[in-house]
Amino acid sequence: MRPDSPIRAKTPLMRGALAALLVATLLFASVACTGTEARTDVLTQKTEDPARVQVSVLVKYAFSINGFEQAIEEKFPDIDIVQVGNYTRDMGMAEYEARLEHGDTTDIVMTWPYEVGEQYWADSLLDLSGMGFSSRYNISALNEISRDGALYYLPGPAQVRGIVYNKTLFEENGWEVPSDFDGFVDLCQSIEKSGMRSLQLGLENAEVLDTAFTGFGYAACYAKPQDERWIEGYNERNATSFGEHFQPALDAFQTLVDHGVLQAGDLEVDYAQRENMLFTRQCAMVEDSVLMARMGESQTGTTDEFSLMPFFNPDDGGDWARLYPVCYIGLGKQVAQTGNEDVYDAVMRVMDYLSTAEGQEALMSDTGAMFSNLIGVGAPDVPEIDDMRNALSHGRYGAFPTLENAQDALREGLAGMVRGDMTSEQVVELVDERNAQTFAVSPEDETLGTASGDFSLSDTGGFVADALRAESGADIALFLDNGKDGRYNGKGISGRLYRGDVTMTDVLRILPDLKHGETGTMHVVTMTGESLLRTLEYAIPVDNDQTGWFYYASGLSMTYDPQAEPGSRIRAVSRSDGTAVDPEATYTVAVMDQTVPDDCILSCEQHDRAIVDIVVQAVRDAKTIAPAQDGRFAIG
Amino acid sequence: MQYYQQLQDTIRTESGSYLQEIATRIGANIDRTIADSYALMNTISSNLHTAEVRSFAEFASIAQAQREDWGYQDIVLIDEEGEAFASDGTPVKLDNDAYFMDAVIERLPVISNAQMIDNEERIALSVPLDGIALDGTTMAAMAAVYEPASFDETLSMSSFDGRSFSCIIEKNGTIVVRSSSPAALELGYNVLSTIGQSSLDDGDSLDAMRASMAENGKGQIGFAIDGVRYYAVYTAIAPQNWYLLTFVPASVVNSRSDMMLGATLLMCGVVTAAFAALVAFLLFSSSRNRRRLEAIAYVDDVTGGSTIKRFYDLAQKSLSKPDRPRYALVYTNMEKFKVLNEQFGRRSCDDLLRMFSEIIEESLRPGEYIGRQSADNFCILIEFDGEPWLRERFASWYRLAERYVEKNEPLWSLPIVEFGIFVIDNAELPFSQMIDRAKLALRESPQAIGGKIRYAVYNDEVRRLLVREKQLEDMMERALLEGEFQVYLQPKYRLPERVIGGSEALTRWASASEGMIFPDEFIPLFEKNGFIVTLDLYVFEEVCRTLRGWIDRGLTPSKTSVNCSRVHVKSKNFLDAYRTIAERYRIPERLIEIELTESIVMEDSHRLIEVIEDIHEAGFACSIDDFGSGYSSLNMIQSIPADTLKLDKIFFRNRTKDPSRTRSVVQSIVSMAQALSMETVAEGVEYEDQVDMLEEIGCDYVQGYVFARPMPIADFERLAFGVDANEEDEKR
Repeated sequence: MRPDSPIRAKTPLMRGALAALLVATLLFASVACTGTEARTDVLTQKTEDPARVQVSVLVKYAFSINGFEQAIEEKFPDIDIVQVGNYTRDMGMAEYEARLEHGDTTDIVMTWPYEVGEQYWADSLLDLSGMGFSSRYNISALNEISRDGALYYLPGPAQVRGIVYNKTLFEENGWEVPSDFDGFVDLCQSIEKSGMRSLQLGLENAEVLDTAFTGFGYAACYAKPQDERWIEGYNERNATSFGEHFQPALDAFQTLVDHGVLQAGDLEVDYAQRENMLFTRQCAMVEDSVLMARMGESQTGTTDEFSLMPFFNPDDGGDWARLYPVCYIGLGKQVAQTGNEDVYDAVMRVMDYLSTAEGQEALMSDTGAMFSNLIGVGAPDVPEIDDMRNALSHGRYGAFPTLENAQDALREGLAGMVRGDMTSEQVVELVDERNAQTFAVSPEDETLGTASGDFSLSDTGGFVADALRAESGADIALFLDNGKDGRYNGKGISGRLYRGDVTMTDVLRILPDLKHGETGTMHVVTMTGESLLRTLEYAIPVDNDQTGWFYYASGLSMTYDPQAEPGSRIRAVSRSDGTAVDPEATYTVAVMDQTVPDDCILSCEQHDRAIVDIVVQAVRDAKTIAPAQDGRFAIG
Repeated sequence: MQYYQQLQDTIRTESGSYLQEIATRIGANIDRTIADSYALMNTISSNLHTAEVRSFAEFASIAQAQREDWGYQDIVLIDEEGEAFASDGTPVKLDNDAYFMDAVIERLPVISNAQMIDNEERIALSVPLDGIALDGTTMAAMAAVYEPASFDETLSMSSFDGRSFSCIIEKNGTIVVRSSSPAALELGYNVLSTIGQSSLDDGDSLDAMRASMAENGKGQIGFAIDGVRYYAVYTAIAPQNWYLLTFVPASVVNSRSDMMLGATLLMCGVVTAAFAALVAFLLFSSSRNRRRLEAIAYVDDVTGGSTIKRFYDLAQKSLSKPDRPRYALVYTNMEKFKVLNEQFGRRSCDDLLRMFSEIIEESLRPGEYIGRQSADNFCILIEFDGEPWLRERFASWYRLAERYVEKNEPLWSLPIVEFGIFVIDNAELPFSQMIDRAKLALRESPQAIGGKIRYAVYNDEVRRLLVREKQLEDMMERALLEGEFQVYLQPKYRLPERVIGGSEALTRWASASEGMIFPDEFIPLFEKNGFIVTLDLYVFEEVCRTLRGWIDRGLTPSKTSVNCSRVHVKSKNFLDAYRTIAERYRIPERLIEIELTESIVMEDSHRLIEVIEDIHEAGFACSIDDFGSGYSSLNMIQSIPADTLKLDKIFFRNRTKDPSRTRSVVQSIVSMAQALSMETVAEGVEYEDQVDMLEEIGCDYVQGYVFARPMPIADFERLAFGVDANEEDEKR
């Protein structure tokens, strides 16, 4: 079971920090990350200090640990934390599993708190059970993670979430935080009567439908040990009908729909919009964390105060807080290998530190109020969660589980209920039907071809670019890198191919998660040589102000130095036949949509072929693929 | 050199068995703590039935009333859906322990070491409930919730000067209860992994340790972490296959060994001049150091008296004198001193300690010393002229303290003071071990003086036990043949008439070589080696013979009960032998009652029911012995068709305990038994007021010293029938 995963848009607060990072001198560091063979890839673009030990940290998906990095580097000036992202589809899980399978982990991994790649833990991760710092965690939390007495991860903290409400607005209108479900519904109706949306969850992101379903049905359907067993049984297709267990949650959801707390229009509101609505008084409540409660001013300049209330459950269900486990923290096995003593010593200091109250605090600095698993740390103590304290202090909190086979169906059904075109009986039918479906082999497991060797990131980027160029017949193809050091564009490569079978999953996991409205299709643009060079230097801005990404290319050969300021990074560039790029000439360039600056484009021919399909085809056609290793991308 | 090697081996073995002894005791204490907690929960559970508790409000007051005595945080109730409630009815969420919940659902007693309750990790000890509904919700189980630290007090009993510590682990090494001792290492999540990653002593292997643990073995392993060597002693403990690990720094254990080895080397004349010079140097430097240390380490900053270091020095001098008297080392502990600290403040408590220390110091004889070891613990070297004399001295110290308090600090209340006594017959033993043994003594059953003082003398029993067992085993067969086992009868008095209404047959071993050997010593051994089966049948036959004799002489015997060990019950047709004997003596129906111990109930209740039915079929009555001492609950008894319930002596052992509490517990058992048409017998009753209480609540029989001790058959006849068997014979 997994907690669902709302996607938070990057915030101005974070943007500020990222921009500051960007100003720092960038560096191409030649670092063999880890893995089976040495290769040359960009691990970090930060200044390198030979006196410091680099410790690479795989950071799950788009999670940022900038605050933690800063705290570590202040505490241990001889340690340089290098964040490695895996901003790929499926929250980066397939990518992480592939890394585990191929022993390609960073020194520290901060991953999703799931059982991802469990079968590879013992081979790829270090057993932490005999390390002193593991003594400082609640045994219950460790029992949950451990396997056969071995401990491959420490539990990271969990974010406290609930209903974020506009406290100032509540005070102005005399609205009060209710004490039970009926009171909550009454409150929402009073708010709606005043002409304002009460609770806006932003249901366009389908996973948010879970939030209402689970949050208000928690006591009845999720909180008890029997519930966990029932869900396990249902996932294993042993239980009879979804409705048998989940009717109370469906009923609560229906009540919210019937009383206009959840509305059809919400299905058109996305996660980022609902946030904006909260800060601009278009709605009174959303679901989120303390981080959100504190973000208003920086987002929109509002002076309103925000606070959290729990999920009130119907009948005697009581008030519940949502815990959102942020990560597991493990160590790549290679840190204990001979020759890695410096790194080993450094990671042990980091692990020891993060297993202190101060270290937990540092981890939480990136995510607001967190619930720590460290003994004696426990529940956070910030005024924004005053209304949640009753629930928190009585252990009425939990991570939100999902169904293994039919969560999508449930979401479809819940959306139907919100639209008013499905009844809860129909939802039960739909979910049961989906749960019963089994696939002998997932289409994503299909083998497309074979890789004759491990690809580096630049090999992988080059392979994708080659496929685009071959498909389009363009002069050149460009494909972005996904970003380094805790700043990610979500448009580029952050996974690599490994020796052996190449499956559909592999193609999907090396390609980016498209979160900025990209279609993921190929465009063939024309640009002048001069614009091409400018593109290579600056790339496109992402999230308004982040530039300086770099591309993997086909048809070009480059010596690239990101240590230099954007504008003077290209030490040398030529076409692959050795001829120079003529600033006056016009070139055709195959790219993914929204990955090159608009003002560099002379014309654009939009192909509707998805890049995924093009790469799949390239692998199928080649049957065996190999890293090009033609020196087209040199660091200089 | 061979002698040296042998000596080293001997010392190692001896140190090992000493460590093992300590660990075994701690383990036994943990087992006992847990058994006590189960007993408490079962008692509360039966109270809920008898007092017809129906609401959380009523339940909360019960939970509250027992809280202080038992030190739990709360009693949590778990309903049939696994939903949990604090004793006041507030919903709480139990988290993270599937094993625990499985047991709750399967209605088994269980302990969880890792329940998150109110955001703190807690130890929860749960018993199933039957037919209890609070405010309309049917409850499936009830769990006492303890802070892990409360277990740690049991764990930290052997301090080796505060340098040892213990933890509890699963067999695979994962931690169950950590030590919170300041001396404890961070042992990680899996203690065996941690040991595995340390450097092990030559010849020790983690695999061997795991293999031994897999078979419930015990032993020790030596290892070094961060340059410090430790011994870890492992012992299985009862609950859930857990293991106790006790860690002792090697330096503490070896100090004695080193001393002995040094002496040997000297004796053997191997000491060279250079060695002598080294010794001289060490002596010189230590005397120089001593002067320096004296200033900083010899005056206790709280009492102004001796620190423990100074105590060691002074005591050593006394012990080294030729013609010295016999000494004992006394370790004192003030009960719940921490609570006093909170109540009256640190300064008042420091004053109290100073007063206490001064009073004792003033009364000491030359050569006797006192030093403060830690917190509220003092060590006293005292002449040992036998227990009565020490009792007298303890009592007089306490009287003086009371007088002082009365006069100067009327607001204070003096805590209960415990004195653990280790009689020093071997002055070579390091003080730390003497202290440990004095402390250990307190863990056994201490004796009380006037409710405010408890004391206990350490004896080497455990260490001698193995030898003793062997000795007894060698003797037992012959003893049986030669009639050394004698049957004693202890009368049961019927209430309210207070006349003999039955008896229990007990065994005494009148050994030709040793005199009387008491059952406590040989019964557990015979249960272990199986000889109990032979002995029980022997007793049974003696009883049948006696009954036959009485009947033949026209007397009317009352029901006599005989013990039947659980070892019998294991074999399917064990009753055949009983039946044959009873038939041989033509014993009338129901004149014989077979007593089964409560522990069988726990082991296999289905089997027990079968056994009882067989017993009935054979024409005997059946009683459940020692009820209330262990795990079983009244709920279980409902399904067990026994005729009689014998209340364990534990209820009547300690008169100083809250009598109203005892009364309510006993009352609930008696009324439940009445409801089930079972007779009740109260065992181990020593006081008249207890008899009054039992009479009031309707208990049927009393068996205890208050009326009569177990006695030879002839004495019983005199008492029961008012005739002398021999006279009777003569008349005939």
